[in-house]
Amino acid sequence: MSGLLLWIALATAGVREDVDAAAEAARKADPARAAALAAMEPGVTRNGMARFPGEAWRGEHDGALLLARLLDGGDDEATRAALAEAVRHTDAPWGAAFAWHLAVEPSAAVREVEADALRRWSGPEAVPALVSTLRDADPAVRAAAARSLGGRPDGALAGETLLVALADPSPHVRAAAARSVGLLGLPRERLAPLLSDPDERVRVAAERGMSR
Amino acid sequence: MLLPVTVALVGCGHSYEIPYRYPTEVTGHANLDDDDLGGEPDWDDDALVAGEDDLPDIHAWTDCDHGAAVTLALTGDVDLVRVWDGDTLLLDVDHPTATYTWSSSPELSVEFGGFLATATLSLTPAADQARDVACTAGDLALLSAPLILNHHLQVAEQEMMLDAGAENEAFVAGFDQALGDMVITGSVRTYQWDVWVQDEFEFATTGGMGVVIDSVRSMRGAGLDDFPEDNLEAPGMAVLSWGLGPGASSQDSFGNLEVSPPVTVDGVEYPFGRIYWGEWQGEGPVDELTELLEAQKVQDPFQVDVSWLCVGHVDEFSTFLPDPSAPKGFRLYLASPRAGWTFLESLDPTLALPRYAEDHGYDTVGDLLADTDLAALQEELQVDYVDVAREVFKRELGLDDADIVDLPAVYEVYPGCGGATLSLIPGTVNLTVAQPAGGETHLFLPDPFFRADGAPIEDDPVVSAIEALLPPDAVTHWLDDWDTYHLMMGEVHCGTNTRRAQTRPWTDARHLLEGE
Repeated sequence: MSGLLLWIALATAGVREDVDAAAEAARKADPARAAALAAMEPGVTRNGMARFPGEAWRGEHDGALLLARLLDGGDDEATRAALAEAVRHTDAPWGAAFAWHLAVEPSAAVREVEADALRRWSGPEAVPALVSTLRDADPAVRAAAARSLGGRPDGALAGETLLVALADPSPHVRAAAARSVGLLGLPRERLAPLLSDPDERVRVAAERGMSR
Repeated sequence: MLLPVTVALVGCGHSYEIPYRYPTEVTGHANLDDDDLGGEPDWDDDALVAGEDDLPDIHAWTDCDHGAAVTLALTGDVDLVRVWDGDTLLLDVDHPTATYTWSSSPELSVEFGGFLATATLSLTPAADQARDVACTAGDLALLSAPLILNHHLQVAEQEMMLDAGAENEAFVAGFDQALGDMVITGSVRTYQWDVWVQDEFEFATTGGMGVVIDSVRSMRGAGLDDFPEDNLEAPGMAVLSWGLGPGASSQDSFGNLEVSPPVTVDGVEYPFGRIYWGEWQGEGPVDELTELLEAQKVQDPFQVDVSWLCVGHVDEFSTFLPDPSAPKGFRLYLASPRAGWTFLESLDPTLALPRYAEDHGYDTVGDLLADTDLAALQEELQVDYVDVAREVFKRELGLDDADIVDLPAVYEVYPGCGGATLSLIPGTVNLTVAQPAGGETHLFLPDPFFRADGAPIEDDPVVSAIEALLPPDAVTHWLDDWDTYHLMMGEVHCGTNTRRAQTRPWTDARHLLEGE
């Protein structure tokens, strides 16, 4: 296990147990609500994605129940992605859970949602988790991690990894990394080679990043 | 022998007789509705059906005498044209020529099976006519109407949406109060909670017939797939689809297929406006549909880039509104992330936003303004996409800056959308416009809820800012679409569909077919 993964493991130790305990308490507090949330199916958004409507996350204990359902992994990929999107609106410890879950979730679509969501998680687990996710096998997930780091006040802590991501084989990742390098004020001269990148999105992001 | 037909004109002390001019062309429309409610388009029936009323009469075409022996021949799009003698099929693709004995009152009619079908019906008198029987050879051009989509300046006849009970009660009530009997609702239970009524079908006309284009987005009975058949299909109103479902994408939804008002571009008049659709990373609606729309010529389609939008529909950032005070009688409203951010900067940063705290993670205006990533995103979207689209609209529609209104908007990257965006503040540009005949222009917009819980809508700074930019005579209705639509990636326009009247003859666009 790399040092980074070990750090994440330590930082998120007990998260799963905490979530399960909170969910169990929620089931006892309101069994009917818990049963309804366990059986709730996502709605269909305008572009056909599965998402849970607002009423799914507005109850006092809904976050814990939805997060536990996500971590249980018993739903299909689309539903798990919808659960990940929903829990970010709650006061459940979803960011810490995502930091752990990103390493074990098999679906790239779910990991992408989690990596995107971590842009707004204020806890210290986010940056290490996103740094680790920059090595994800799926380019869409790596791009999400690069995006999220650029939007975080502490994103510069991942500076070296973002600079490495400028050479990612995926143009989506290179473009996202270039944007984040510019936003975070990292050494902009490192963007210069991307001005001749074969992908226009990368060139635009690099040019814009250098001018910030 | 028929006597020469004359028309007398009397005036100024003189009288003139001019010969009657037999028609050289007959126009009609594709017979694709189902007048007998038999379950198939009438064109697909082997015989004329009961109630058939879509076949132009061509009996007064020429001046042959009763009993004249002639040969009739059909050339051109013979697979899309048939000629009937009463109830008897006379000419079609399998029998393009026939001998025929002219009667004093022939019951000839022509049937079209497609849009813009062209053919020539030729009459050749037999060489050995009976004594005292005369007949003149002649050609009759046959032409069917193009398919024409509706635009926002046309009078509204019906407004459609789904009724989700308490969930969208206020939304439906807003339309009911303004439009009364014009509102038609279906139950969300019947249509599997697929509330995206805008996306399922598009209203059009061909000649005197109504056409509902049924999207491939939900084929085989899913969601709203049966809504057009259940609620709209009737004699005189055909429900048709192009393409197949398996290849469908979000771009096949008809919030991604819109039409400008009538425009003149570089001296070319488009009396029915021009069609536009969005392309997401180069991909638009299914080829079968786009090729059909391009082939109609009269609304010459163009495309704009929607790759920056998670849903990827043109109605997420553009709309046209009638405005009698505008130079062209309408204005293009474009969502402007730059104007949106400038607007935020003008507000009190301590303004609390409870709706946004709960569902978007921003407690106050100051929280929004502190998000430097969000600020940068607005400028990037403006420069990379909206300004580019603005130039496309100007070029393709002959607009100038005075014809365009920048509507403040704020977008955010949405998790799982590959970096693409959704409206953070409910997208007011995604509105529904309805002008009942002889009535006012009603605009139905998503309530932005940019205010404290329980505060009156008059206190909402977004509402005030948008109202100041809308046509002065429009009546606005701010509707709660938050849970059912906004949080599920759509707004008011997405959840509604407007049937509009087409009062203009398609031949007003005939000049756009010339030279082909």
